[in-house]
Parts: sequence; structure tokens; C-alpha cells
Amino acid sequence: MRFSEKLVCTILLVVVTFFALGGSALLYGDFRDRLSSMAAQEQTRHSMLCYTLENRILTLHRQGDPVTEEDLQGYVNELVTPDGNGPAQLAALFHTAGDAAGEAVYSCLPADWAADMLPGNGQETILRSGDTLWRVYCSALLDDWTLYTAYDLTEAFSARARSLQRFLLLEAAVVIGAAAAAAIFSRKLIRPLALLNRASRQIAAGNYALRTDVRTDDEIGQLSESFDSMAAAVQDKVAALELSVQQREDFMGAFTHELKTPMTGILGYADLLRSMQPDPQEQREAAGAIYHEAHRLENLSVKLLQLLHLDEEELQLEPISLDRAVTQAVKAARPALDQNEHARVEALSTGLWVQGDADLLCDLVLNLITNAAKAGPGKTITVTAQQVGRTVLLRVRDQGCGIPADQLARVTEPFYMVDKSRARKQGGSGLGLALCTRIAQAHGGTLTIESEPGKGTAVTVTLQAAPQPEQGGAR
Amino acid sequence: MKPKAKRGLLLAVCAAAIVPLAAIPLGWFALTDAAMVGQTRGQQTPYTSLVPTGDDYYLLRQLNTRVELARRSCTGPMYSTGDGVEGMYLSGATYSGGMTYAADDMQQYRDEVLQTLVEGGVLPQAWWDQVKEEIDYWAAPTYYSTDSLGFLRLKTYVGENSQVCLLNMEVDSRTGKVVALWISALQGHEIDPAAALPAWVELNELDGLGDWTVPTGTDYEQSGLYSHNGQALMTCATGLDTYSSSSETRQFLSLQLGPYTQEVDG
Repeated sequence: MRFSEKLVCTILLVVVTFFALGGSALLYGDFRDRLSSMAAQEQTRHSMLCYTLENRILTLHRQGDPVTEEDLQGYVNELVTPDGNGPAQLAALFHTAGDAAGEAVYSCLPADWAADMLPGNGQETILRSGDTLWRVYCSALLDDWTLYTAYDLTEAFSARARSLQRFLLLEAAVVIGAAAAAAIFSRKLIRPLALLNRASRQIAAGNYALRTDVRTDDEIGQLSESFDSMAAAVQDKVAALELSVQQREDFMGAFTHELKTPMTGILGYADLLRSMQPDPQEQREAAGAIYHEAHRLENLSVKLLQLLHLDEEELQLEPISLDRAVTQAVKAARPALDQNEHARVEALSTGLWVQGDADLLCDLVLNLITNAAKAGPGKTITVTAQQVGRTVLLRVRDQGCGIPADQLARVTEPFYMVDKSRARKQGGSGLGLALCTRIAQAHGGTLTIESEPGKGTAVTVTLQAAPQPEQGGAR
Repeated sequence: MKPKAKRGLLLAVCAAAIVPLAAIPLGWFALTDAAMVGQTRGQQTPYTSLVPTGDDYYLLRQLNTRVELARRSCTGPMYSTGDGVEGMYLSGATYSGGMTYAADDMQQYRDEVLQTLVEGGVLPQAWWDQVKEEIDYWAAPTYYSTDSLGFLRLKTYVGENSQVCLLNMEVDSRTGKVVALWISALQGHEIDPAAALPAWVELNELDGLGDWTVPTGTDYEQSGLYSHNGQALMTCATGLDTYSSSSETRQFLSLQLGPYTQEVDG
């Protein structure tokens, strides 16, 4: 059963119930009022009859004449049927002698009314005779006379039946109208829900850009807004996943390529040494090439291990002297500096301390200095640091060839190399900046690169400043 | 169950629920009618029966009038009303010398009236038998007189010199209702006022006053009935007859209906 049909059924049930109950109460109230109004008139007529009869009895007493049953019988009959065209009201006159049960002197009441059905003195009751309902009144009169009068209630019940008939017709019209209105209303109400349903199906089918855009100021509007937010989140997540998958695929491709390139050289030179009889000079060149490529592979494996290690474990940061880390890095970079035409490093002493891991910070600076030396062989590399608020900006600037602007965004990707042939020749693996970026992120900082081709590159790393510890606690 | 069939079933159930709900008014009126018919309840403005007074009864009005006229004409038959119009009341003779000798038909009338009292449970049969016996024994003469209001007095005398008043009865001549009765007998008999007086009320058709009660706390507590509405008192008494000038010891029975007395009303 559709939700709209459930809604229509529920609305109809509620409408019919309350309409029927309300109508019943209204009709019943009107009927009661009509009966009360009729009762007032009937009691007036009954009282007048009683009064007239008692006056008749008293008149006889005043005259000293006997009160005979025949006299009262005729008198009541005359009062009840004034025009002789049948009774306008029913009446019965009883007379009790002492404790004996009353005996009817006159009665035009229906024969099917037993004496015990009749009301007592000052009481009234409604009795049925055939299809007619009568209201019967009873009053005790002088000299142990008792008068019953009955009045036809057919008009009240007929009027009620007519009202009831009209009400039922109205009720049928209301039910039909309510059903139509509820159907239209429910369709309009659930239209956004249908839209949400279709949208969710299409999104499930891959249309992540689809939005419902239901602009209503109610719960459905809020649901639509939440749904759209969810769809946007799903879209972003899917895009991130796709990007991740793409990066992984790129990584695997680059990794395979970086493995294959030195392996090709190693295999080639090894095959040369195995299959031919090179002269000693050629043998040395082949062995040197094999060593060089093997060394590249080792560097590659070390840096991959470092990257994996950074992803797996959370760092325990401690106050580190930035000057000391830079000094150690410069010392470690000495061979690389020498290989690149004795590039020179100018590292100014800053006295700054940062929150960090000493070994990783040393690796970070070492990688940046090595990259700078490779970019500008024989030129000066400047290492500076500056504290801005609670952040320390560590900057390594070279005067090398620079990086084209369109490749700046990709240089931190693993295995990405601006000039592959030069990088490989210099023993580069394409993992240096990627590793630096991860180290900076692991320290809660960032790595940004500014470069101008032909003029040089500046790499800035943000680190958290740390207060200088007391003597003995510093590294 | 298939979804389509289930949907159809639910729609049918909904429709089936709507029909009886729509018919609530029919059920409502059927229930209220069933509860209404045959149920007895008090009237909103019940009829209050008229409260009659003594003037509404011919007999009491005659007695009241007689007392009133007798009071006004205490110095003679002529009296003056407040606006100067003169009236006249003639009381009937109460002694045999001033009364008329009654013929047989009058005596028969007397007997019929007394017989009515006996049959109505007012006069005990024993009293009536004794009265008849003495009347027959003495062939007692009866005299009568009437006043100007129509009250008929019948008196019967017994004894060698008719010195004993055996019976003194006062009757309204128009209705034949007895308003006073005196009987003197050689032997008394019991009479129960609690039974005789209500019977006399009914016989005189005064029960419509509706408030005949024993006048508690008065001299008539054992022998009277009093109506506040009618301002009337009925008494029934028996005892030693000290009124008759007879050498024999006699008993009397007295029945009396009269207007209200302040003593009783108080």
C-alpha cells in the first residue's frame, strides 16, 4: 500500500469518525431540545386538563351533587375529543377506592399498554404502540382520581429521521470530498519524497552530482537539505577514493618504472660482463654502473621504508634545537654537496626550538639541502628560520634551475621528477619531496614551494615552536 | 501475500471501517431510543392538585352559613349585612311542642337514612337494632322541623309520657347527608371512632378535602377527625345519658359534624 493511500485512508477514518460523532451529538442535542419543547407544551395541556377536571369535581361538590363516574367519563371524553374527529390526545381516568387498585373509568389508551407500564404520580414515560411513540403523563387529582394523558411524538421522531437522512447525505458528500482533497493533498505532500526516492536511486546508480533542491520550510525541506549534503559528501568521498585509487595506480606505475629502469641497467651491464669479454676499462665502467643503479635502488627502498614508517606510527614530538638539526643535516649532506660541484650552505644560527622528532627533522633538512644542491650545483644554498607567533618557518632557498609553474603542484607526488634523466643521473628517486611533505605533516605543519625557473626555488616548512628547555633536557 | 493483493485487502478494510463509522448516528439514536422508551422519569413541572376548602363542599358551606347566620340573628330572625341589606334566618324548632308530627313516610325516610349509616359502617348494627326495638315497642312518635337553610331535624320520643328522646337526627334536606345524630338506648354498645368517622367522611363525600386527621393534643383526640382545609370537625362519642329525664339508666351515642373550632385548630 502506498504511503499516499495510507494517508488518504487515515484522513478519511479520522474525518468520518469526528464528523459522525459531532453530527450525532448535534442531531441528538436538537432532538432533545425539540422533545423538551414539546414536553413543556404537553405538560401545559396535561395540567390544563387536570385543572379543568378538578374544577369539575369541585363544582359538583359545591353544588352538593354526587361525583359520578359517568359524569367524569363524559367530561373527559369531551375534553379529549373536542371536535369529535378522533382523539387529539390520549387520556385515561382511573379511580382508586381506598387501598384497592385503580379502576379505569375512561381510557382511550392503547390496549397493549399494561398498567405497570404507566408512570406514577408526577412522572412521565415514553411508550410505544405499533409504530407510534407516545409520551404519557400521570397526575393524581382530588378524590382519589388519577389522570393519564398521552401525546404523540411522531412529529419529533419524523423530523429527526429527516434530519438524519440529510446528515447522512451530507456525510457521504464530505467523505467523497475529503477523499479527493486528501488524495490531492497527499500526492502533493509526498512529491518531494518521490523526488528523494528517484534521486537516491540515481545516486546509487552513479549519478553523484544529482541534487534534489526541494525548497520548503518544513521537515521535508530539511530532509532534502540533509540528503543533498549527504550526496555531496558521498560525491566528495567517491572523488577522494577515485583520486586515491588514481594516485595508487600512478604510484604503482611510477614505482614499477623506477624499479625497472635501474634493473634494466643492472641486467644490461651484468649480461655484458657475463656474455662478453670486455677489457678491464669496460669492466670497471660496467661494475660502476651496476653499483650506481644498485645504490639508487637502495636509496629508493630506504625512502619507501621511511614513508611507510611515517604512515604507520604516530610521532612522539619533543623540543628540538633547530640549529642543531640543521648542522647535523649539513654535515650529512656534505658528500652530496661535494658531488654537486661543492655547493655551499649558509645556515644562520637562529636559536629557535621546535616540537619535533630529531632524526626526521634532520632527514627533512638533509633532503631539502640535497635537492637544492642537485638543482644548483656549485651555488649557495641558504637555510633560514623565523618564528611567527607559535609557528616557526624553516626555509631552504637555492639558486638553481627552478621548477616550471605548471609542475609545482606535482613535485611532491612520489616518483615525480621534473627532469627525469637529470634526476636519475644524480641518483634521485623522486621520493625526496614526498617524504619531506609527509614529515612536515607528521609534525603538524605544511610544506610549500615557491619557485621561479632560472632563478631558484624556496621550500618553506612550518613547524610548531617550542620553548627552550632547561639544561640537560635538550637534544 | 502479493503486495497488490495486500494493498487491495487494506483498501477494502479501510472502506469496511468507514461504513460503520459513518453509521454512528444510526447506532447512537438506536441506543438512545432504546434507553428512552419505557424509562420513567419525573415531570419537569408536575401538576399541583387544587387544595379544596370547606366552601368547596356544599354540606360544609351550609353548616358554616348556618353558624354565621345564627350568630348574626341571635336577637331575632332579622339581621343586617355590612352594606345594610337585611336578611333573615329562621331556625327550626328543637322541642316536640314546636315541631310537626311526622307521618309514616317521614318515619320511613328516617329509617332509610339510619340504614344508610349502618351500611356505610358509621352506625353499628347493634345500636340500630336497639333503636328499632324501642321504637316498635313504644310505637314511638316522631316529630320534625326545618330551618330556613333546609336542615331537617327529626326527633323520636319513647316512654310512657314520651319523656325520653330516643333519637335526634339532623339531615341536609337537599343531599340527605346526616350532619348530627343522637341516640339514647337502654344498653350501650361499642363503637370505634377510628373506623366510624372515616366512613362517615366518605359517606358525606368530604374525603376530597384530603387532610382528615386525628386532632392530637385536644379533647377530641380519641373521638374526633379534623380537616384543616375544610375547617371542619367530626366527633363520635358514647357515654351515660344524663340528659334524658328517665328513671332508667340509659346510654347515648352522638355523631356530630360542625365547622372549625379555634380550640382544635390551635
